[in-house]
Amino acid sequence: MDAAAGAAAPNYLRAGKGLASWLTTTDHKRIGILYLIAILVFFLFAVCLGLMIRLELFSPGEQFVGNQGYNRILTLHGITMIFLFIIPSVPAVFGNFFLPIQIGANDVSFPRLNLASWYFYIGGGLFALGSVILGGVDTGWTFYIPYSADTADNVYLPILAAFILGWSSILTGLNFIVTVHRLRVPSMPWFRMPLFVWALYATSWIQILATPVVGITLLLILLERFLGIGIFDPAKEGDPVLYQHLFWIYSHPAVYIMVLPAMGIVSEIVPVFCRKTIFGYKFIAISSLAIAGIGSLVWGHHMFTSGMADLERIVFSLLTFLVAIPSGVKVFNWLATMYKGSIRLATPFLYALAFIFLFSVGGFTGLLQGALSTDIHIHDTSFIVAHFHYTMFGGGGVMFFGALHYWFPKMFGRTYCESVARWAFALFFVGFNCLYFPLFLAGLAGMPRRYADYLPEYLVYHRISSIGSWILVAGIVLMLANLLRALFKGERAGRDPWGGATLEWTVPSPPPTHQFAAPPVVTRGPYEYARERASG
Amino acid sequence: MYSGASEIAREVDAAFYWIGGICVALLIGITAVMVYFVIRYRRARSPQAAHIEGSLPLEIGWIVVPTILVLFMFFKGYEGFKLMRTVPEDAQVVEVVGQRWFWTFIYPEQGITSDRLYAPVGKPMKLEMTAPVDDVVHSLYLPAFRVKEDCVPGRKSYLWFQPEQEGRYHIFCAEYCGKDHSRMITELVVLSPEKYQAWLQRKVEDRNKPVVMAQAMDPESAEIKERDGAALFKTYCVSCHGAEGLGGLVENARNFTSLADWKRSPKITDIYRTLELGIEGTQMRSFSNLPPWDRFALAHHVAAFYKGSDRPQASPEEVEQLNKDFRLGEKQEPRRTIPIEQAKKAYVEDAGGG
Ligand code: HEC
Ligand code: HEM
Ligand SMILES: [Cu+2]
Ligand SMILES: [Cu+2]
Repeated sequence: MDAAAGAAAPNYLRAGKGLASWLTTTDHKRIGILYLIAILVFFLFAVCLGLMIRLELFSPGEQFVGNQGYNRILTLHGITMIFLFIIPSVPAVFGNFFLPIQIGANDVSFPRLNLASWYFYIGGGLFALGSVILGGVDTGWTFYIPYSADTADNVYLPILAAFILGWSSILTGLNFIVTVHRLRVPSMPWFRMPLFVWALYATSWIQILATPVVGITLLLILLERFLGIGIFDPAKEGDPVLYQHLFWIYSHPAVYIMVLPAMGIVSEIVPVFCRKTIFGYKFIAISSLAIAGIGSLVWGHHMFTSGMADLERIVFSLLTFLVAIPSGVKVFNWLATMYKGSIRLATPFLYALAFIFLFSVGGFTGLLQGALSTDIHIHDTSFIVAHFHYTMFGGGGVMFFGALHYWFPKMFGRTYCESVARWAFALFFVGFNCLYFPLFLAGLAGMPRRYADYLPEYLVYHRISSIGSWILVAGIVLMLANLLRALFKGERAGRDPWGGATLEWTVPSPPPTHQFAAPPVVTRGPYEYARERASG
Repeated sequence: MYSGASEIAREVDAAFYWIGGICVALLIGITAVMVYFVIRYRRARSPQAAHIEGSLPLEIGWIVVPTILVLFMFFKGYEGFKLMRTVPEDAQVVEVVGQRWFWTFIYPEQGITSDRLYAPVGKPMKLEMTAPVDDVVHSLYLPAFRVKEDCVPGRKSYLWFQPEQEGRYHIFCAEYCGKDHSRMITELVVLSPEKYQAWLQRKVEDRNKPVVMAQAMDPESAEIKERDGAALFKTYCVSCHGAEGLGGLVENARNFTSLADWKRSPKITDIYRTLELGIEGTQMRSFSNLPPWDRFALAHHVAAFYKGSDRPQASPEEVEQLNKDFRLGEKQEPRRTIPIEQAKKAYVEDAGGG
């Protein structure tokens, strides 16, 4: 089984020295690390912006930024979190690092393209930062027309940023699809692939099919703005609602880009820490594809009040409900996996549990938004703000950190302090709910979103929420400090600290540049621990 | 949540209870099972895991049962929605224009406009909504009535509600529209039918009242003092020109404390002209739907921002010209209906009314 022969070969971290060797690397693992660093930097930047939003909303009235300042901070927070953090997060970091290893390959199919994606990512990030330096942008992350064609701010900067980041995303997706088809070891048929690979595979299809739509749409904004072509301009018989359709045709599937890979990680972590094969492997695998498929047909639920025809709204509502089914299938299968398991409550498993809870809250509140009459009340209120933080942050974000704890020993060859990690998790979890749950209630009471100010009757919700943001950030800081310390001072980790059965646990920690001297031979499913024991 | 203020609101709340109830039950169920498993099957108590690969009946079960549940939820949502979209025949129409950053409510039968929405108890109200083609998307949101619909430039949309009790209710703009989105708040004032009729009557008289130029040009006249120019300015002008009249809150908005850069001039007559006509191609629009007297009060308020004594004054000829151009001395004819095209250009009124 142990195919990693090159025990003497230096690990990938030491394979070359100096900044240049990193910036020109085509090793998928190093590219994963490059992404990890860049993504964490942008994440922390946007967390600071999130804190500023919450400080401004601590009390009614103007606290320290005016309306325009608030709108700009909010926009930058949204753009950074969406395009620079959550969309690339799991695929670019953990997908790059582990997808090839999990299918027994030595790299992705197009290693240089992979590096190019990273440079696209950085390029996009610089454009986004450029917009801050030039005074900020106030359109909201959705760039709704006609506002975005009309505002005096430099909208073209974040639009180009999103456009370039789209390229990064498309190229990564393309690379993954080809890699899964071409580089999987022959002994691993489709239904022996780890579920993380399944999830990335489904996600990649969304990335390459949906991202071009938003790319073109964003370019249309620029054409509208600088040339006044008028397809969205009612004064020239254009239609602003058309923009909303085009935008959400991408951006709804994009929420599955954010959450499917995270679900894949949950499917990895749950069986490992239950010592039990995953329940309903095929159903989980296929539900990823079902989510990707149905999820592409529900974008209209963002537009129930935009003046679509009533029939359109009804059809979109119905489709939206159907997409809940495959997500439910996953949750039920995870729970069934825990049944009669032998559960070890380590930190990665805590994150997986948190995912199931937080994502369920996000999913169930999503049903209230999918239903027509109730959505009309809560649409564009802070209910939505709470909902999407529960799904994206509680889903994608939480599992980004869950994955970091799960694979940290493999990536860096060291282990972190388990008890500090748990404390950090506890702060994170409590802070998260304290920050976002009150926003559900405020939304039900009618508090609109993207409001720099609010009527005094909403004070109590905003107060609690702001306090929650401090607890949450304390948790994040403690978590990262713990990992940073482990990087230098952590104990050496063995090959397989958690007892995993997927291929990454068969190679040394950290893996050498060429992890497999010879293609590994896969003789069992990815989660077969019981048989492992039986066969000695 | 506000307690339901109309039939729609009760229907929507029922959907909230049904859907929310099922969701909360499922969430508690999932969480409880999860916590139970984690405790029951922790390694100390359950050292050896069982080998179970799956179960087809279970999979079918948790596909079929949720499907039935969500179809039920869909139906609950659809019911309330149908009610929202079915406007009673006898509804009274009010036209709504959303603009950066204020609302205009136009009562087409009486030809009057208001910046607050007035409605009588018991009457279904249909709002026909739009935004000017050179503006952005807004969304009218009446939380107490659980209704909301976007005002899209160049498109028409509608919603309806039927108030059941006298009172005041918030109206928010729910679609992000730029700087003062969070201040685009006004109210729905629900009055008894008698008080509502009296309000309409007052508005109509005000609208029709002929202008007496001598009084209109005199900031100290009773007619001008009665209309609170400062309040009107606060409602309609501060989002661009600022409370101090310094301007600059949107591109180029004029600074009233200086005599420089005026397109027309800081004379009362020219300010009035600007309010009647707007300034082509800029964010400064026509406010011609304010009653003429209100516009004069505003003009005096604007002029007073300049503290120097060298402010240019309108000559008697210019005053007469203004009178002639807009036929201010005649009885202002009530407009039977305002076509929506005109409404798009029209701006508003009423800070003191009601
Ligand atoms: C949406 C923003 C906006 C609002 C609201 C607004 N203005 Fe203006 N106003 C402008 C802008 C922009 C200009 C400058 C136009 C130009 O010349 O480029 C201007 C110019 C003016 C001028 C100068 C005309 C001249 O001769 O140069 C006057 C007077 C004026 N506004 C009065 C008002 C009054 C009174 C109100 C409230 C009833 C008001 N404005 C509301 C944006 C606004
Ligand atoms: C410390 C963590 C965070 C805090 C305190 C925070 C806070 C907030 C608040 C209060 C808003 C709503 C403001 C309003 O509508 O007026 C908001 C908007 C938003 N947040 Fe966060 N957030 C955090 C993390 C995240 C994460 C991790 C993501 C993505 C995964 C995210 C994505 C967004 C998006 C997309 C918006 C909408 C922006 C828009 O309306 O254009 N946030 N955030
Ligand atoms: Cu969506
Ligand atoms: Cu608005």
